[in-house]
Amino acid sequence: MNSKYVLRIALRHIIRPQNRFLFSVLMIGISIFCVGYYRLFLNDYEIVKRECNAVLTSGMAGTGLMRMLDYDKKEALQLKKEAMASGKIKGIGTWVFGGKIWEVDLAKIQHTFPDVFPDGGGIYRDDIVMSCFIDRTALEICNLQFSRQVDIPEEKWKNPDWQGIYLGAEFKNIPLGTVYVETSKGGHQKEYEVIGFLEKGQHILADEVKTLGEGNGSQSIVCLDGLVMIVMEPGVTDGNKDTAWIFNVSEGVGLDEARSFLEKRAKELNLSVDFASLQDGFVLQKIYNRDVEMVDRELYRTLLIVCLIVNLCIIIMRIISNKQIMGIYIAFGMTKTDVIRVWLFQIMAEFVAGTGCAWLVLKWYCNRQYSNAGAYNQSIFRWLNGYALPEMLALSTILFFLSAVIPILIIQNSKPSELLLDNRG
Amino acid sequence: MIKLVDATKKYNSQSNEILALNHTSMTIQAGEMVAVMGTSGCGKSTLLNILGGMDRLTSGHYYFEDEDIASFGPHKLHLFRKNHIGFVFQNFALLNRQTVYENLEIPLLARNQRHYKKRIMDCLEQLGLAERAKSLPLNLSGGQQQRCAIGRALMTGCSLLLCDEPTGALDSKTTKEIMDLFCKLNMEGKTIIIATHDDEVAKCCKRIVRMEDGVLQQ
Ligand SMILES: Nc1ncnc2c1ncn2[C@@H]1O[C@H](COP(=O)(O)OP(=O)(O)OP(=O)(O)O)[C@@H](O)[C@H]1O
Ligand SMILES: [Mg+2]
Repeated sequence: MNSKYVLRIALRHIIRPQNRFLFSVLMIGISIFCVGYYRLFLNDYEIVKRECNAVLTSGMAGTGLMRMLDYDKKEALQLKKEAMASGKIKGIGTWVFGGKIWEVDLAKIQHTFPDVFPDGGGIYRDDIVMSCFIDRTALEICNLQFSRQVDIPEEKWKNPDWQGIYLGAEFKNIPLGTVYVETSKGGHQKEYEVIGFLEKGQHILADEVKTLGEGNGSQSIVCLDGLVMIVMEPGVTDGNKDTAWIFNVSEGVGLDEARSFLEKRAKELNLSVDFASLQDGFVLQKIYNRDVEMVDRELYRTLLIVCLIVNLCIIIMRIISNKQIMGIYIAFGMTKTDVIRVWLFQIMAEFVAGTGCAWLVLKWYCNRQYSNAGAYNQSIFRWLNGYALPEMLALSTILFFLSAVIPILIIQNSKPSELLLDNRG
Repeated sequence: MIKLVDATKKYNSQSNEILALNHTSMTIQAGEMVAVMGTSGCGKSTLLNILGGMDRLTSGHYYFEDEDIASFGPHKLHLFRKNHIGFVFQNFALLNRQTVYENLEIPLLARNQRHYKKRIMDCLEQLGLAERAKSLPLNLSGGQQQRCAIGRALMTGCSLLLCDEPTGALDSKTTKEIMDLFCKLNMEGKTIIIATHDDEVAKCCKRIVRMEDGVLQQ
């Protein structure tokens, strides 16, 4: 029988409401959705770990974090110098998440977002553009890439009334070299110059990494596409905030060694500091999550097995209740192969539709749930495409093959008269 | 045309063996219209299944136009069914989720035929089912369902029509109509074998073969 006719008959099986095609699609869809959905929880921890490693030049094992409470003391600068001189530490950078932009002129940047308008009171919606203070060393440790950049002579960096800013990829309409002026109450003016643009889709460790283990590890990476980065000179701090120091160790030096050196010197210099290593943070997070994770994994496994069994049972029941139809097809001139092809087309359609629906629903759900979650949104979708989709596809393929093989065996091993016989039951 | 020699069909159900056909022989010429009569369970359906190539003999020979069908493999058996056989099954065995038209379409699709619409409609016209072409079989009366089943068997272009209790569920008036149809088909040259336990039906046939416990008595 030619394929066109096989398809035509398969289509008949699909579109007639009595054939429970929709029911099968629903069952397959629900199963695959559940498995994908549970993956969502299971993957949280692993995503963050992977991504943290990806955004650092020397990976998590070689990068430490330190919170400098006495940022305004000159000893803080001295500690930095000493650490570098010791040879144990390759670089120390500073970065602070500044939250919304408060510099009045700079806040005009928000106009460049097409869908952001000042509300009635002339106040800009303030949670849209986030700023981040970062020094050049931290930029390097965090492995940031630029799409466009101007060279700034060293003396310009030294000028306290000038500050360079890097813009995320979403601000690409602003010309390079644009200058924003901030006038303080006393009439003092400070310039912010756009000196470069970040490559699209990049991430940086968020401030919260400092407190990893307490909070949600998943929030630890921030996408830079909509972010304004104000570049600080090393050592210059804002004065309003705790400062996070990020450092990477020299080759052959362990993180612990570098850390105990810093700790010791800080004590001697009478500086108040807190340490966090990303590793520790993740270990803590892992312990914290272990029980949850175990339950999740157990659930996931159970779900997977239940999903397999339920779908197989349904498919097998369907093939058994359809034996008569197959017997009729054979009696009227089809081969067993034709009948098997009709069956394969039919369940293939079910699996494609079921998996497609599961995927769309999961995507819709994530869109709805996480569209305001900034960085998390980004990583969720990367996870969705990178892990959930392949896994759902793999599962649906395995299910498809099982659902195909068992009926094929049933058909192959039955005599035509037996197939027909089932109509009397 | 048909020659059964020492045909035996054994079923192994649970512990006991059932001899549905018991070392029996028979000959049917092309163009005959034969009624196979016998009590329920004597092996009529089994006989038709064997003759139609839906099942195989346990032992013995079945010659169809001098070819020994009993020795055929699955593919040759499929070709034999496809080229020669039309079935009208006990209980109609229609595809209840497909329309009358689509039921008739199945044999044609299986044979990769094209431009068959007129052929189906002509046949339905002849069977008085033209108006019900788009109905599902479940919405038809018993007689209409039977005519649909016959129409489907005719679409195969078969030379041998095997009918299992074609009037089992019908009243005498409808039975008469169906039998007239068979007679007409027989006149047109088809060989027809009808399994039945209805004397009225048997009377319409040119020849009656009685069957008892798997044995045919000519
Ligand atoms: N697939 C099977 N497995 C086991 N036994 C079977 C099978 N098919 C038929 N039989 C047995 O073979 C015998 C003949 O059955 P068959 O269906 O041929 O009878 P029949 O003459 O068509 O009866 P009816 O008039 O009721 O249709 C019966 O005893 C039946 O129980
Ligand atoms: Mg019978």
